[in-house]
Amino acid sequence: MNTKQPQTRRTLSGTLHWYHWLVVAASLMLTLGAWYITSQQARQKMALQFNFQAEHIIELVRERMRKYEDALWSGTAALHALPGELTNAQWQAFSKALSLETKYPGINGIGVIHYVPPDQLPGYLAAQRMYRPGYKIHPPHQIKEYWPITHIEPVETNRKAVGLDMAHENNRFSAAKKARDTGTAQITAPIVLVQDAKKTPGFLFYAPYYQGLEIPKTLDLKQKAFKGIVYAPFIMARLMDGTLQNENRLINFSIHDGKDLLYNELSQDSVDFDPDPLFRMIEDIDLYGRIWHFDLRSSLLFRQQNSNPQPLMILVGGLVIDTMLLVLFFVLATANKRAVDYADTVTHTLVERNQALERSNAELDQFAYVASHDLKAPLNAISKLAAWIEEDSGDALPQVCKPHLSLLKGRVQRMASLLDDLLMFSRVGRDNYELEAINLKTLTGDIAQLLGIPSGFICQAPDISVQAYRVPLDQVLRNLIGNALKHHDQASGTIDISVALNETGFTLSVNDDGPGIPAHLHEKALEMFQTLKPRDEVEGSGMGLAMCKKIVEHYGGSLIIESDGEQGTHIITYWPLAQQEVK
Amino acid sequence: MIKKESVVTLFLIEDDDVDAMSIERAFAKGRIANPLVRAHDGLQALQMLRDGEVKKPFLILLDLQMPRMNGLEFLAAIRDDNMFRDSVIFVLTTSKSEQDMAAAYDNQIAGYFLKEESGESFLGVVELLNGYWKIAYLPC
Repeated sequence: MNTKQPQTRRTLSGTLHWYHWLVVAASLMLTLGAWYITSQQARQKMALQFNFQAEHIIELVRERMRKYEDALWSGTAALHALPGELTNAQWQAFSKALSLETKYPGINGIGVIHYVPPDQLPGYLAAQRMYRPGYKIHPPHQIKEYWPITHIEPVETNRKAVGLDMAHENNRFSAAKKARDTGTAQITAPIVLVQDAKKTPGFLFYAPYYQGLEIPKTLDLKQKAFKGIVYAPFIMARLMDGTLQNENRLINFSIHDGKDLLYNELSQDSVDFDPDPLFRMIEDIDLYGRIWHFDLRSSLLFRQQNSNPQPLMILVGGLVIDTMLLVLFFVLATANKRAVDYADTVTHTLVERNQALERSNAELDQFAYVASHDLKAPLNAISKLAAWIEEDSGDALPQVCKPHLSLLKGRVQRMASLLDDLLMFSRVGRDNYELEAINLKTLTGDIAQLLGIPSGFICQAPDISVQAYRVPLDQVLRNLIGNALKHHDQASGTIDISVALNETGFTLSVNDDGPGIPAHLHEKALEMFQTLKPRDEVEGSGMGLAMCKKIVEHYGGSLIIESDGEQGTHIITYWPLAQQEVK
Repeated sequence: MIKKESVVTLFLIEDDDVDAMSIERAFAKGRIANPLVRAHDGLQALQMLRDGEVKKPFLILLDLQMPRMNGLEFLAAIRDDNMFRDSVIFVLTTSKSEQDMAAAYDNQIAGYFLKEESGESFLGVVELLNGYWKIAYLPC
């Protein structure tokens, strides 16, 4: 079994031709090409989608920050609009008017930082303590100026920030100074808000305000006119929650400010976090004096929504079709091989049979030869010897022997004609003839003359020509006329030959007015070596009709006997026009 | 080379005794005095020729169907023989085969006779031969 397996496989693959493989290979290449192109297209589409989403996130952050900036600037405007010193109640009213909770989700509060030079500190503290007795600036530091948070709303959540001095810590202080010196909104580097119990990253957003409505042009004038800052503290996580609410999280991202982490969704805890993102984008955004470093990555949701099954379907479908094609080729090739094998076998058998047939024909030839020579030679010798006996003995031969001698010669003669007929029968169809126009009247006349028609008999045929092979037609007609004469029971009679032509051939009938053949003997009459009368009565080999039938059938025709067995016989032969030789 | 006066010998190559006897009887009947020499097959005939048992001038009357060496083989052999290739040969046979006939004439036979058509006891053939050698010049 094991040794046979590979051989079978080799035979199978051997049945496939190179062009089968070519078609399969071309189809496979087409499949892979289609898969590659569609997957490239899908990937490009996804990349576009990702870029759009990433830019969208960044834009959301920017826009939100602009909104907060607006809020801060509106704070500075409010400060300018007030006639005297700002009171806590006034700020409270302002912040309420802003309705932070609803309009600015993510903001932690909005407050005012006053710039207090050392010489103004006592006055400032006194003013504040008038309605906030416990108010103090904290924590202590070495710098000789004070940037305390005077007001912050809502105060409940920002109580720890009240009085907090920006100058105590570098991140807060440097950004505040930058805001003062540039006259623009600024944010701080990441810090932890004092009011944030969770100690998460956050920052402050500053907008400076000066003496007078206009922002002074030069640095010097700015520093002189500087009054303070309207600010908002942000806890980064809250800011992002507010910014990104209702957003589909197709993207997870993190924000760094320098080395400090501001915001991070890139962890397993995040919703739809994809540890192996399809796409990633890194972008540095300039935001109010800081560079925020965005690291944006596609999420699982993105993968889900954008995964396009089309390329995979094309690949799988194509491979399935290719496989089916291959199987189909195998099946066809195998079937074809089987058919060819079968045809070979059949052809081989036919060739063998043909050879056998040729052998048997050759044997028949040999037999005919034997019949003609080897059997006839001794027969001739017998005939001669009998003649010599008769010749040499003269009157010495007893009278009683003489009829015996003549019977002997008669039997020899009969055997010779039997052998001749047998030879002729076996040779039917062995020779090829040319079709020619044959006049039946002439042919019949020739035959009648050859057979030596006895006086009293009439043999007649119509003056019509037919297209036929001369020798077979002559043989048949001669035998039939000969039979009619031989078997006639009267001293006179008529043998009438009639012919009927039609499109497919002609019918030739030999009609006599002899004794006829009874219906039950018709079949027997057509058999070889069958005679209907004793041979001593009517001399014959019994082969005439059988040979006629064989000849006519060899040329695709037929022979039938029509006779009631009382009056006359009609032998009707049909010869097809083409007279195609039937082997 | 040509000797008209000499008596022509008939060299009969025939395996069938009755046929040979037929020729002899025909000679006797026609009172033909020419010598008649007989061989039973081709091989014996060649041997007899080479042994000088058949005196020139002679005519050969050849049968085709014979044992050992048949008529056609004998024809091929004699036409290949320097001494006897010029022999005048008639064929007397039962074979009606056109192939046999063509093969025989290919070897320059002078005539092809069928036994059954040669008349009663080959009288026709014998008469023809008798007439032939009376007027023909034969190689010697």
